[in-house]
Amino acid sequence: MYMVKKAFIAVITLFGVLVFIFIFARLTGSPFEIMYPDGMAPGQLEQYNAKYGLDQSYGRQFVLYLKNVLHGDFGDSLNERRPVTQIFFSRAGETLKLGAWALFISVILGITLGVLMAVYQGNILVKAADHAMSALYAVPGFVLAIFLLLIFSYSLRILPSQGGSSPAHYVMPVACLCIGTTGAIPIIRHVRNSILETLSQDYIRTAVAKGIGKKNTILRHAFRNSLIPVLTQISIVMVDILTGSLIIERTFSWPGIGTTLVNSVMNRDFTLVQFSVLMLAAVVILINYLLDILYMVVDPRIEVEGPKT
Amino acid sequence: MIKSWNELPLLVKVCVVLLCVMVLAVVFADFLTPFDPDKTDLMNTTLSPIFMGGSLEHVLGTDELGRDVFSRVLYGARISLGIALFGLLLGCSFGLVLGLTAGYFGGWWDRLSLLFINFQQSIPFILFVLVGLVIFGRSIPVLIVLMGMARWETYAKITRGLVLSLKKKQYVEAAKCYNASPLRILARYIFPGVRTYLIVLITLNFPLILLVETSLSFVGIGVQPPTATLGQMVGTGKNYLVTAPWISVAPAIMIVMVAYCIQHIGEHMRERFDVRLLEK
Repeated sequence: MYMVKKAFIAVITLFGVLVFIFIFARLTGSPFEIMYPDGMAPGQLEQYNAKYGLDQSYGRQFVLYLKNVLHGDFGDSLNERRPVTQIFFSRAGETLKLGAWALFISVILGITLGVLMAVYQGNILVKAADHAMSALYAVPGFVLAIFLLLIFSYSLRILPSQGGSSPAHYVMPVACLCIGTTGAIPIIRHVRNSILETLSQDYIRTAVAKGIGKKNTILRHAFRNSLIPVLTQISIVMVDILTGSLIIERTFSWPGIGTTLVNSVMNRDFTLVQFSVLMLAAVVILINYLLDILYMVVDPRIEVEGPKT
Repeated sequence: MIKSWNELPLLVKVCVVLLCVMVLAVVFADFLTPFDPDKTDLMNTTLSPIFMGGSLEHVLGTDELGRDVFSRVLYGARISLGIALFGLLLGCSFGLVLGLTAGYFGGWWDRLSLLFINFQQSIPFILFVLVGLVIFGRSIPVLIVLMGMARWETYAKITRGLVLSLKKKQYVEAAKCYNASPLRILARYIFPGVRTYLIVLITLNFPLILLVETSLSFVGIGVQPPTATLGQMVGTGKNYLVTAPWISVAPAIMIVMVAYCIQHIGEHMRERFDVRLLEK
């Protein structure tokens, strides 16, 4: 029941994005006026409008739009003159690889450092790390990219600055996604805070009282019970990495969706942007849906009550 | 509401002072620098900043077209901070009005607002920004409106929650009894209870919006040249990192300093007012 309800909400949300894009696109009149900002031959606009059904009522247009979408027909890219689906999926792999590495490293780093910072709370090193983290939290990925480029590409000359073919190409983009506002830092903070919060519970005192030691208590009891908020945070980081890579990819000329999307915004390639945004929204919705299912696996009580976070 | 200056932690004091200095410098940029930020001088391109052996005339050096980097940072920050500030206020007003009315009147309007809030929460707003930029073009007014879409749902959600509990208070009931209009009740009796939360939330959201705006300008889909903005300066300077790193490093440091100061002040306020609702 819980899963069906969540699936229903996910579908409605995606439909909402469709409606939003439709309304947004029609607000400015005909898309052909955007395509040809310098104007067209007289009568041509009307001709195009008639061909694509833009002369009909908004209701009809929306039905037509939905029908095309359901048939997987999202039109051709206005610049590259081939189906947007083809362009998008040929580049999705690169973005996925980059994002997967960034997520993997963020989660590993986030959980280890988070647990360590909870265990050694009050230590001078932990306090220093805390300040460093809040400073890094104000550094956007692209600023980090500039400094990394300066140090590793131009001064030390050990890392390539552009493109994405060898493992060395991954280092800087992944680092930018992991260290800045997106990535490990929010996970570290969440793991630490939620462990510290669980540590004040009664059953932790019992565990300590029976003499299994502080570290064991944290690992066996506190960490497990703090999993739910941490899962939520990881899903947020996943989405942040996805949107963050739009900017980072372009910075390092990574041949993925981010670069494509930024270029098509620049060229006002509406069909390509529309499809990419729709797909990215679908991925985000899917992540949230999977998260809901994971909640249920981690804590079966949720199916009845809904998550407490 | 504000405790005495002396009790503030040192780091917060430093942030407040730094922020004030930067804001004053940005506002009074015209008096601080003799150079026009857009005036090119091809005889004096990529001059070094003063601490790298440059002259006192161009404190932060000049860029690839001979424009003074110091004045461009100040004028660029004016545009960047302006867009972020107006966008922030726009989003906050929208969220506030939605939250107040949804919480107070309830019924179908409340359900509709909740639907909107949940929708916005589940889709990253940058996706809408990209669609908006394609359709409406890239100009400052468009960017302000699009930045206004950032995080409005956070204000709406918190306001709505607070209104739901505030409207049951006796003083609100009393106001209803003497036939005060909903507008008066919301403005005089409910809004003051929401204010502190809003101020903290605005402070915490400001750096986020600033970073989004600068990121967009950095990759070239924000404000268009020749208008200088911080992000765009970092972006164009990226091509000259080998020969003239200061072109992009100077605005980059400005972005980080502004974002860090505001964020640190915001975090301090969150702790100080114990606004637990705002935990991210």
